[in-house]
Amino acid sequence: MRKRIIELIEADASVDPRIVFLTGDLGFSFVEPLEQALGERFVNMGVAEANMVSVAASLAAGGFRPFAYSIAPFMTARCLEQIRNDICYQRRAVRLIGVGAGFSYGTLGPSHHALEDATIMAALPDLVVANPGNAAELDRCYAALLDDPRPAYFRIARESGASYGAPIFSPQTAAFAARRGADVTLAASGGSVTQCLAAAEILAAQGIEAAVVSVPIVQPFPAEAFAALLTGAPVVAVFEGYRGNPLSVGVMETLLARGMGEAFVDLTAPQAFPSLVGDTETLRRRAGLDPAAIAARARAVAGRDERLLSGRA
Amino acid sequence: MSYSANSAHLGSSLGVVEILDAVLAVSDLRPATAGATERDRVILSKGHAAMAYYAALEQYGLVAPGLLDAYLQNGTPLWGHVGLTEAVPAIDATSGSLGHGLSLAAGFSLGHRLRGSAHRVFCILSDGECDEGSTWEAALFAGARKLASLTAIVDYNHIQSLAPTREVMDLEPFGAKWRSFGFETIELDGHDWAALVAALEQPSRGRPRVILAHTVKGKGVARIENTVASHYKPALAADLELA
Repeated sequence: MRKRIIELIEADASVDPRIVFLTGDLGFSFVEPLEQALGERFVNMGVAEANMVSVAASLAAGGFRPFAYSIAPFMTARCLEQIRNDICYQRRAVRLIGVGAGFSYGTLGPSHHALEDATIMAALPDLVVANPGNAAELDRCYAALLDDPRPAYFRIARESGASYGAPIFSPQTAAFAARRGADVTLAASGGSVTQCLAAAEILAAQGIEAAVVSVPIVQPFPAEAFAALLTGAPVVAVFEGYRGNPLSVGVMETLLARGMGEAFVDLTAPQAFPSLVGDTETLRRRAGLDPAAIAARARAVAGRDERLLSGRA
Repeated sequence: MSYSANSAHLGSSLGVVEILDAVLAVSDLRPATAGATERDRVILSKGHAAMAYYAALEQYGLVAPGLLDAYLQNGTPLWGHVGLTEAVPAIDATSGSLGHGLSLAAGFSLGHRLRGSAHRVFCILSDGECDEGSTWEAALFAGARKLASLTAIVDYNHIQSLAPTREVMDLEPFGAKWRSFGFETIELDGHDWAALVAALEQPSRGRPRVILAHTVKGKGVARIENTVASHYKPALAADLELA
């Protein structure tokens, strides 16, 4: 999806001279076409994310539409106060792009994993958090936020995700059913939607029909649009991040506020740095966020787990 | 203001009065231009000197006088550290956490360049915030990109929050550091208004400029001059006469 967001900005830049792209010295083999297209409006800011964020804030104040690009933890945790004070407090409509959602960077290690980034960004006033799960969702998120006066964080996975379609949505309506099913609802965002679609296939083979609801913009949480997709079936929230992430908080708040008594399971990664090397799939499996683990928890909450029913769980 | 609002940071404010007045005198920031994008930009990075900043802006008609009288009262727009407010469009940046201002100034300067604007950017820093790594990220960027529209003025009073800068994190050789980052460097007496104006008005030499303005913290109130305590203690009634 890295390539796709660069393509979107490049297309946008050809019609909008206000676009400025700042990179924290990253994007090898992806950003070069953008550099060609933007000329002096493409600026390599060096390995200095804090400065990059504040410079972007003042560019926005000067009438530009700045994008700042880095690897997700460097784009968020490294320069948190610059985002808080210079972008959010000053209400500058900067687009922050963090590449490497969740376990995307696998074997590169925990320094490069992004499991708390969405939670931290969602804690800031006025900052919109987009977490697209494939190129179609990315296109829709980009369009939905094009003229939004608020700052936004785009949390971008390295993988392209499954090729499900996405309807046009606004930040308020950014929830839709990627698959329908009456027995259990898998609510997910970002790369977890692809994991949930695979889990739904496993469940279907076992006679359980799972809906997969995707929420590509998780902050502010599109509560009404999400609630409208609930069927009364139990809900499993799946997010490649820690507990307290904006998807699970949004799902829980929606269920509580509407007095919905569905059974609810929150699937997140253990809040710990893995000590042993793992690739993306291995880390996901260890965290219980792979299709087989999601299917097993969904089967249990749907009341179809035979071990659970027989008291041997 | 410090007395009526019982506000801290009196020493930090008194020391920077001439610097702020000189910057505003040189800039084109006036009531008629305050709301415009195309104008000079003035950033007080040492946001704890907010009192002096608001008072200086008021001298140039950029803050309604009534706002100063109500400083720090509930429901008014001027905080104890500078924040953007519709009530004062002349304020270009929030500050209060140190080490942000020079980057914000560099962003305005880059914007001026991309728009082909000849306008300037002035950024007033404290010496203490030159401990912050982000200040030097900004300096490296401004120097490397030759952001000639940018002028930083360091209020070099040699005292930071707890102790003299020399003892906490010695900045010297300070001028040499800035020069090595690509800045034209001028050192002067920060209470000499005419010298400040002259330095600010010097023609550009094609790179960013820093003015190391040696000042006396708490200037004008002998009781607190050059003291660490002046960072914290508000004014007393007796000080109003002396100052």
